[in-house]
Amino acid sequence: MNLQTSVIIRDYLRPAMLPTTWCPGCGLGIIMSSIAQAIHYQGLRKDDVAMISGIGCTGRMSGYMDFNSIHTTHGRAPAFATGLKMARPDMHVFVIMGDGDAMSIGGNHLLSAMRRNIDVTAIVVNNSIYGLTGGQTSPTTPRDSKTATARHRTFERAMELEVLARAAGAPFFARATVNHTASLTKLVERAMQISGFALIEVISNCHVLYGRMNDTPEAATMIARMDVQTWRSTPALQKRAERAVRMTAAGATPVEPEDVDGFEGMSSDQRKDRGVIIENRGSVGFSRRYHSLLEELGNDRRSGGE
Amino acid sequence: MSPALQLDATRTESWHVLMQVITSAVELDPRRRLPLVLTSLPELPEYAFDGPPISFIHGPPGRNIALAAGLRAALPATPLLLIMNADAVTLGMNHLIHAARRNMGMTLMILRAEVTDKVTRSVGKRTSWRVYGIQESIEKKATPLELATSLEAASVARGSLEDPGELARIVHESMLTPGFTMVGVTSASNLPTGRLSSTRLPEYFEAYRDWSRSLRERIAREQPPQGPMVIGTTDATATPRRHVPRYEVRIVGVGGQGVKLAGSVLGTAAGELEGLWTTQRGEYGSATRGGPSLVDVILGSERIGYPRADHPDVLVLLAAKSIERHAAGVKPGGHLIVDADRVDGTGATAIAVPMVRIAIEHTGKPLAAGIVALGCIAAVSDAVSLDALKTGIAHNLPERLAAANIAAMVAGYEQTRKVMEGNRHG
Amino acid sequence: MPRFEVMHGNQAIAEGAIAAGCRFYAGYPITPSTEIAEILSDRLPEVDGVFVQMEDEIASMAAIIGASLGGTKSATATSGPGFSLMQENLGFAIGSEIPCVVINVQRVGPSTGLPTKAAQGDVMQARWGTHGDHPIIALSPGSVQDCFDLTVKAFEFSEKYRTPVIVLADAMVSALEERIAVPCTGELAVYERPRPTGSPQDYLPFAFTRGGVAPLAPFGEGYRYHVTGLLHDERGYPTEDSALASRWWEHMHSKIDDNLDDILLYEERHLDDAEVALIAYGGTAMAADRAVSLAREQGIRLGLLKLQTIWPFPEARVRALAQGCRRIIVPELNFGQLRAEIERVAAGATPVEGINKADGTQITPGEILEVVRRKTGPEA
Repeated sequence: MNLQTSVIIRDYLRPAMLPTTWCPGCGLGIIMSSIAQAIHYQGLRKDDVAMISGIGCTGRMSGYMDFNSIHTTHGRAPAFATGLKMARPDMHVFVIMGDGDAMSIGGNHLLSAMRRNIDVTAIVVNNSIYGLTGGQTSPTTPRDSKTATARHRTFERAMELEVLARAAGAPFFARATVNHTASLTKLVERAMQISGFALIEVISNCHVLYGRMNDTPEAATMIARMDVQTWRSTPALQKRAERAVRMTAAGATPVEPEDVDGFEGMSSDQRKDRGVIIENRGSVGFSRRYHSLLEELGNDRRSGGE
Repeated sequence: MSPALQLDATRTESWHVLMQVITSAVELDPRRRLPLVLTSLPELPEYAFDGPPISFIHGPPGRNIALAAGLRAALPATPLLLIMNADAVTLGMNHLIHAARRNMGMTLMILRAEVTDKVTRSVGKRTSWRVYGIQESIEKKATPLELATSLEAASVARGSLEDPGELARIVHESMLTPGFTMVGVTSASNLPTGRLSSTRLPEYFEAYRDWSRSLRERIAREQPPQGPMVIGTTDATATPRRHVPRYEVRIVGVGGQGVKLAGSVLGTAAGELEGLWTTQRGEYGSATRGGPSLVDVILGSERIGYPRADHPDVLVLLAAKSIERHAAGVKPGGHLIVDADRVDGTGATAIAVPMVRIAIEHTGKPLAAGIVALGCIAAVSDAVSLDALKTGIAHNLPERLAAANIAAMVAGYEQTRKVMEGNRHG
Repeated sequence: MPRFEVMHGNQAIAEGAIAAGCRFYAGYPITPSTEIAEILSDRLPEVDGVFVQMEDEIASMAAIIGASLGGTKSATATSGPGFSLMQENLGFAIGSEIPCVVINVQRVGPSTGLPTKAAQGDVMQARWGTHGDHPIIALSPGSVQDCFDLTVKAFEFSEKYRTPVIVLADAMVSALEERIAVPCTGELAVYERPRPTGSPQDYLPFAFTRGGVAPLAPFGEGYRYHVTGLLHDERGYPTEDSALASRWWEHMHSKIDDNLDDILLYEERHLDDAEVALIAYGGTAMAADRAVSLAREQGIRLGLLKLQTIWPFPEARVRALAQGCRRIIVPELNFGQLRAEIERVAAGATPVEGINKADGTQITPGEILEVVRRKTGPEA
């Protein structure tokens, strides 16, 4: 991190809340710095930004940053954000969640917010584990991992955020890892320009819990391995998503039963690890549409001479 | 009006059609297995109970999917049929996606699937409670069939109420398929019906049972049965060999000095080997982040009750912080043991032993400092013996670490004796 | 003869559940109860049980109801925020009379509060957390031994009276390690769910028995019936008949009220000659117990009523106590939730004082003694 960057970041933090509760080497600090830089480069005033987070290690982030911030209840950040955005459409609202927060307890709120296309920039920090409570299985824990609730290794498949984003029609989805800070900052900036639910999955490291239980107890080695193994496969997921749309559309023909490609045994060239995966620049977010419709209604009524 | 719309309009009609479908589906099964039906639709009419003798659960909206997960765990063979409305993708959506991705065995019939596929309402039209219908017109699709397909459900199908015979066949086939299966029920004529997609992944609880069976077999192979639990004792040590009045021990340090471990070793030694009653509690800083650590161990011939060492008989300080606060609480006639390198014990009548240094000398890490402290405690008190502590270490630590830790503890014991001699003569 | 083992409170709860025959657990990680889930994730598959980590606490509560209807003894464990999420389906289990055990390791609230710190602020939530009137049983362990014993009792009561039973623990006992007595295999009298014996045609799964319950048939064994959250008749069919509703209420209340001798658990110390009586429960009872020892050494006539069952409330015992002593002091880590109940029952017979806080620290014997001395000394 160069001097200029660290000066920028300092300006967006709350000194009285520091130091953070995060373990040394945790990727959350990198992510927080990227978000601060993106907001800085986008030229937003602190007063015009809201930071809404859930519960968990990731949930603490909203408190460390000097914006309008809410550290909400477990999993509910998207619902709080919906309320705020509808009441204050002028504000740029960030939603910050962890993998367990977003996809386990908050799965319904996340999907509903995406489906509704509420205008927020959402960051889901995916470290494959529940960190704050001591390393239990999360929906994104890869199969065959050791966790505190699966000391004999997990046997179920991990959940894919990209699948949910596609199924619920998110207009923007990108994946990043904490090993590429500059690109992460750019992705956040790009997401901020979308009207609607813009989602970034950031693959992060919990070497202290996930790593220690799964043979990568050092931050550096875990980040390196993570980077190679960002084994969320876009082509396969896209195929799945397309099939789902094909069959529900009016006039579609039934699809022959088939097995879905598994992640295991997938060759590396089928994997696209990171970068922008979905981007719909024409998207108009729920809040923007709602408020413009309200305006139209008001005009109609006035001109209708009720 | 199509039957699908009647589903919404009149309760009786909907159950009439649904019961027909369920009855026909059961008749298609050569074994005539009756499903257990979970539903959150408005109350069942009485005649539903005059049909085939089926058990019903009328669960809270959305929650039937989670209820069914528990039922599946308890009843591996009973077909579970869920009949749900929009509640499957509102209140119940989180349960739905997790049951689908884990492939938990149940068949979910979603009524009016075409309505949840696409909702369009003209702006300004009055609806029941969203006054202008704006929200529904601009919300994206809530697509249960798409979701289930994306999450690799075992089977996703669609049937129409216009053709109850085909719908019954689809429901029957879905119930035969292991795993999470979904049947969209529609009345639209332009949508494909029949099975739309399928996967062949194992059912969740079946996979769990396979896994747990092999786990039990492995345990049985590796550890021949020796009763339900391996630790503990039923012999005469239940009655203490000698009378020990309530004895309070407090060890204070920072994360990474093995304070918690020391408490466990002392607890095991006194509780399981000396036959004393014990309690152990504390506040522990993590080794990664440091932070204050504290453990209280209380020993005695009678049940302990209150577990805090508010007035310790022996207090060990491994770190400098707040010596005054802690030292003031030591019981009159009690002992204060401080780390000679880290804590300034002058002023108090302290026994200064370089516990962290001894730990590093013997084990290479400060983590054994708490163990060294136990040696010091054994030197000032006969509440617990050095031999019991040695066995306690062997119980709590892997074999490769035990010897070095025992040596470190003995060094702490001897050093303490030496310092006490010195104090006496000096 | 029992074995003696050193274990912590969460482990004692988990082992108590296994010993009582629990073979299904559904839960979601939350401090400070997570260890119960972690231990059961290991132990249940070893005894051919099922552990499943659900997507949230709402689902966990629903899943244990499902498993119980399938005939398996089931439990979940959580802490404050998760307990709030369970209230909806907890009400379902109460209304449809489905046995299950809910362990709530209390922490400081409201909301996220102080996650790692002990508190006793969910006493009234355990009583009235779900909407509508309802009977409930809540047990509060005051030691690690209690964690084991009362978890076993919770399963017994839940099966015997067909109701969810709440184990209202706190971080004072759940994180405490203690040497406890554990029954060896075969020594523990485990209460098994009775099965119906009559013909399925005559089976009334929700019979409005006075002071008791109908045996609950597991699904899939020939007794088919309907379970609903709606108010129902004896067959389980929904009804709006007010005469039936009133009979239902009589049944629901009498199954608890007629069995108080069995359900009310408490321990007494030096109450026979006590001038001042402490009433305490949960982890705070340990400090109260120590305060009694110290007071007696100093010649102060202090006694203790330690409540293990807090709901239903032991009215008769507290009323008798209020008439036999000069003052009652109630230490609890909240701002007087149970004290208000004690005041109601004491009804002016004797003054009732509280020692209250919820700042993350615990009440010490010294603090209790100070209040006792102030109230009994010459200047009082």
